[in-house]
Amino acid sequence: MSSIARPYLGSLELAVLEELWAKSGLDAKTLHRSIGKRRGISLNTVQSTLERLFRKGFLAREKVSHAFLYTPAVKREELMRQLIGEVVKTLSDGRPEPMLATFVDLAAKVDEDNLVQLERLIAERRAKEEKETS
Amino acid sequence: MTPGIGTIASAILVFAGGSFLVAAIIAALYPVTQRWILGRHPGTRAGLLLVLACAPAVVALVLLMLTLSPSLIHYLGLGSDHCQAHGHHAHFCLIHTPLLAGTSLERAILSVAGIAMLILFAAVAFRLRRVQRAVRALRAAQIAEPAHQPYSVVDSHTPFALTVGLVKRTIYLSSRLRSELSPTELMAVVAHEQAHCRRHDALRMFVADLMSWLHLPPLRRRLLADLHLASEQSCDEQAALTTGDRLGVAETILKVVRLNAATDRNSDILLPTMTGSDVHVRVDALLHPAPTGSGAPRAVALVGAGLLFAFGFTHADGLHHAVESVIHLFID
Repeated sequence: MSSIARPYLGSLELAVLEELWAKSGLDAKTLHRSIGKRRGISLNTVQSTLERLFRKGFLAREKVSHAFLYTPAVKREELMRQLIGEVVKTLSDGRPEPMLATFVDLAAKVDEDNLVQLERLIAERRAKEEKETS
Repeated sequence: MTPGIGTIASAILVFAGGSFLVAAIIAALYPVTQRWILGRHPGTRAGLLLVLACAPAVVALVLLMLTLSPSLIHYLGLGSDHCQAHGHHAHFCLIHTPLLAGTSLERAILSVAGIAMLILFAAVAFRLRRVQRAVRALRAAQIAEPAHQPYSVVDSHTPFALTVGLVKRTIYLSSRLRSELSPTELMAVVAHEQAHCRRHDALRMFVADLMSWLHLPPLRRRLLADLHLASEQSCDEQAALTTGDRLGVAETILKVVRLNAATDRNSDILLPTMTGSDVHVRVDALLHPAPTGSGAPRAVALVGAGLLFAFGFTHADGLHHAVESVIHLFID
């Protein structure tokens, strides 16, 4: 897994990996039958996707007779952790992305004194409201 | 005939000149009017700021259309030949001017415009790719949850909630955030994100980001930061309405800030950003009574824009000649 520097994957690559996580040791023809036909893509496309994933280090393969059998070289949980890690990095790298606005800016720095002051103001207002209603 | 440049290069000059003029006017007026704008209801403010962000591009485009309208009317057989009345200055027309004149001045204008467009497209493509990768990762990593939930959950130790998608919008919550928040706090966060969905904020920000490139860079950053804050505050107000507890929304914001601060992330990514002070402003606004909104500004803006366009259209001949005179000054 350490050989995978940037875990960016296309939707077909992810679909192939999902299929192999569910059922390991498949060849290109079997994968084409299960996901290629549904997506309307050719066997060649599936083969090149497998080749790409193999070269990126996501898959291991073994030649059996005339075909390669592919197995995942990464665990699903590990890859997902890396994918989300990349998203969090994008959200907090100090270059705000307006199309990915979070509830609270992950890169925002609010110092402790300010936080305490804001919390105190809220508590005071809450106490005042409760006093008014009681 | 226009000496030196054809219609395309003239159109580029008119667009560039018009947008620069509008950008300069806004740059001069914004510091004076910013306090008034920031005092508006967040929804109204977001609308105003979107208009300001897009103004140079939109106004320059309208100016271009109005300038070309006399020759277009003639071309369609709806009016007389407007070009016979002058010959003393440069000519900018769809009928009598060639599209390309083939001069070195024209090549220079087209080259600069082409490079600017390429840079803009490359920047937009880079940003969209960045967002698309994030969306794809979030989709892949979402945990299977009951279908009736208005949000998807992704397994992450970082406490975050966000809405993604320009057209098909989805709310994502990290598993950590969901587990740390109480049901009421969770309701506030989801209501806030649902408001982003209803308001099409990601699309608004994309349009503002794209169209505001014609502003001066410092003002562009200010406008986008103010627009971002207005959108967040507008969604805070919606969350306060949904939960019926303004202070509860403020408390939730601070709780998420604290959770983020306590999350173990590399210190080099905790950089101050243009939205770093937003938390203080958002919480402060929630400590005060809900601002009163009004639909009037949108109606006033639409009527105003319509009247301005009608005025421009009725004076299109004068505008056309004035623009030709200005072009003449530059290329003669």
